[in-house]
Amino acid sequence: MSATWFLEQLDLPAWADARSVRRAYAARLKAIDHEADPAGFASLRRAYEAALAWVEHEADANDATVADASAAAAPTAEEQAAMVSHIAEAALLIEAFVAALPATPDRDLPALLERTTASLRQAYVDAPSVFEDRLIDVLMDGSVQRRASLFFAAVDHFRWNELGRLKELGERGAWVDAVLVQRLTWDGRAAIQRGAWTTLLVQANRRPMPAELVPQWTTAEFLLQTFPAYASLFLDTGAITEWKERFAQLPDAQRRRKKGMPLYLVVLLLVAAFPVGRLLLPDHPVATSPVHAPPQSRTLKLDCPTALRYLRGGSAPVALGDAVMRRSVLLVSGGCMRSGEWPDDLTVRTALQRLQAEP
Amino acid sequence: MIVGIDLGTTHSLVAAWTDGRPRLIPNALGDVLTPSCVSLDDDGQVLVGRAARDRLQTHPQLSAALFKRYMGSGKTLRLGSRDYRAEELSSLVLRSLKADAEAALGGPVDEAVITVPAYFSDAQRKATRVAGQLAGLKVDRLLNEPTAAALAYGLHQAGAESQFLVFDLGGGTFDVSILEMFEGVMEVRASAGDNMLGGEDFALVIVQAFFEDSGIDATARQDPAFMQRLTARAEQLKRQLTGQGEARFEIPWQGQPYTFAMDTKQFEKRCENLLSRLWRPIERALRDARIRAADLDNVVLAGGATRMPMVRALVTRMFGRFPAVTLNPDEVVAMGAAVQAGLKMKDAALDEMVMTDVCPYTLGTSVSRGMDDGSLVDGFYSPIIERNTIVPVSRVHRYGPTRDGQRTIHIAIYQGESRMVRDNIPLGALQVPIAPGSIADGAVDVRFTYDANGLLEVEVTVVRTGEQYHTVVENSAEALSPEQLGERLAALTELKIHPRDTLENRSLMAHGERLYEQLLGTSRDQLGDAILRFEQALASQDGHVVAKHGSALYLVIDTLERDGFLEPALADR
Repeated sequence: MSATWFLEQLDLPAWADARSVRRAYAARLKAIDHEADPAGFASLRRAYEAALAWVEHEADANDATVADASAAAAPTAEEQAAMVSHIAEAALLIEAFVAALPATPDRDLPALLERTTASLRQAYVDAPSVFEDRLIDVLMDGSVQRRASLFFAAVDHFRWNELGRLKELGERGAWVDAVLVQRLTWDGRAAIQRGAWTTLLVQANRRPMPAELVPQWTTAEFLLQTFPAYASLFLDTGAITEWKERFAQLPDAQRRRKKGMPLYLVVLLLVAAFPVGRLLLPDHPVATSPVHAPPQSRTLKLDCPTALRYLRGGSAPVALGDAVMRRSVLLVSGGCMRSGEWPDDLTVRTALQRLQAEP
Repeated sequence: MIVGIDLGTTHSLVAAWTDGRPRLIPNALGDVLTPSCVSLDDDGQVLVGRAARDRLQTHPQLSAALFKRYMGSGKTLRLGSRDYRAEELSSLVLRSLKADAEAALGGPVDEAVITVPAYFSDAQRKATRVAGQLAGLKVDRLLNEPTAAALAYGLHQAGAESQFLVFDLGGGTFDVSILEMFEGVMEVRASAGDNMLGGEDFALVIVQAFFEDSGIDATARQDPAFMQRLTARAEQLKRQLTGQGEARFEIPWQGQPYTFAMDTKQFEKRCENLLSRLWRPIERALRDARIRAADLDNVVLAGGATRMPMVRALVTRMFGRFPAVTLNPDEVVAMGAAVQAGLKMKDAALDEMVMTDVCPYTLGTSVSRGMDDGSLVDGFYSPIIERNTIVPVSRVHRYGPTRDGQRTIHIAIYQGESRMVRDNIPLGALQVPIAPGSIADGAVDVRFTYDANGLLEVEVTVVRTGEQYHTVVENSAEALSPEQLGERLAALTELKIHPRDTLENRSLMAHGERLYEQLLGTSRDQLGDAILRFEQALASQDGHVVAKHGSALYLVIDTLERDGFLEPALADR
């Protein structure tokens, strides 16, 4: 088969243009019954598409030498000016979106995305895709807060889960793809572990970072290595650097002890960190002094039987307050249910629901 | 004779290719639009069309509409004592259209080209074909609605080279297709759509607004007769807003009148969400066809809902031009179906015309993928036929087992655009036994063949042995087995469709009965009187008497409606 077999099949000369390719294809298509002869049609179609691609390529090569001739088709100064103002308008809209982010609660993000896209469509036809690029940029460079919520709202809005969408986005698409794939691996882990990880990362965004979290940098580091794109979405700008630096300042002994920490300790530490985090928040001026987790809480193991006893109306261990206990029980509930250590019956479910509903 | 049928959500039409051009065929009442409504009459006969639509309000338990929305879902609607699937109800509409065509053409009609929304799934297409079968029509060819519209449009543009977009917003579905026309070839470049978006949704917005604004009790929603009346009023209001800035209606419920008014601004505001859903399919079709909106030579409107001024305004804004309105958007799809029927009959007048279509969605199977950490995650979508591939098409991909010693391979078939199969539509599955051995030994070739009707065939070949497997376990709830089909056919054959020659009288009566329920006071008595006399006339079977009292009743109805008695607010205009 020669390099230009398609020209031979369509009976075209080497100087054929797009118009003659179309004409040759049309004549042959009319001669066959394409619905009844799929094989003949497929062969004709292959030749046609190859020929079209070939003449377009040839035409491009010729265009390069006669570029001056096409100057007449260039946009006028007025058209260019109008376009520039549209682009400026779109850029303003996009920046307004970024500015509106901090004040927008998570549940309103989809509507904000929809509104912004709707306004951009009126500016000029490609504006929504410029917006899409810009949005991925701010997600990648971490210059906005609450990136995880924004990311998942954007997945739905821009249909990033659709075939082929990410390919069009080039490098940015590759990053989105990495996040989505890492998330799948993340979802493959036990629910209780994922829950603990997410809580850890979300807690670390509190300013200043709760002291109890600092020794857990090793876990965070592990997550950032295993799920680099996905895990970092949960950490706001500066959180990673601050965490790492404060961890480096810890005394050696404290740093070593935390390595290879068993899972339940992670859970417990998190649990212990909760009230601290709350007390340190600036909107809770009643805080008298930073409270450190009581040492006994670290040695106390919250196993499924203990959690079940509490759920069934027992009281909380002395070291932990009721609110802390409630959150911890909720945290381990998924794992205990799945492992079969808790009966999956109505009384347990009702008790869990009641616990969840408590303020 | 082959006819072309537009089996729509709200209306259906039939057309034929005669004397070198498409011709619409009127029904027994002389209308080309037959409402896609079915009702069981008191004597057990089936009423189709306007009479059935009137009876939706007077006998909601015996009547059905909008069933196209349930095509291929297995969902049933109860009429009287029996449940009907959407295929069966559609087949009754088709039977009525077939009778109209036979009366007009003076010969038997046993084959039809039926149009379906481009974005109709495999199950929905199969159900449409079954509906044809149940109506005694051979349906060799299903045609995508926007493609049909393009055929009708292209017929008038013979010889011209152009790229154009068909914007088809019907009663229940939205489709967009981009076509290229050259040298008599009409090539669909890309199609996209939304199966659950149509003119009916705009009427529902009004119904919703009525419940919010009129202060009526929410329990009124449970009253089927009231809901049918309200939907009809909402539809009427929607149409009025096409020609004027403001419209209102009054509707009684449990003896209490409720009024509702709306202007075009409020209507548009409430429809914002629906309008924004029109963008996505258009953006996708343009992207897939690799065409910029500015490069389109024309925009063709199809579907009755494109009459709405807000939809026209949106189209004008989207494409920076006024859409082509040379063809009646209600009729253009049926006209195109007739052109396709002509093509199928190899009519000499269409010798120089060929049309090629695409598969509007991606078809593929489910695969596992190895992750960075060595784990295997399943549920990834592996496309075999990519969306907007020209049809007919046949593509083959090779897959293997995930571990050594595996004994069977599960080939699940999906339709959709998501990277994960859980977000796509499952079409069926095949279990293929393989000899346990190494991963390489267990390879299978999966071939997908998609024909011009949009129907899919799957064939799996075990590479080592050459054994082939075809049997696809369909999603059983959705498709009828051959036995079930036979039973349904037998049951449907027993149903008698109301004879054409007396349908006009029957429709007039249904219209009168519907009005009677809405009226109060003297006009109600006056109408009741006319209905009674007409009933007696019908019983006498004396043609002259029937005609006399029929036109008397018609006059009463016409006067009542014209005086706007039903619409007190309109009378103020």
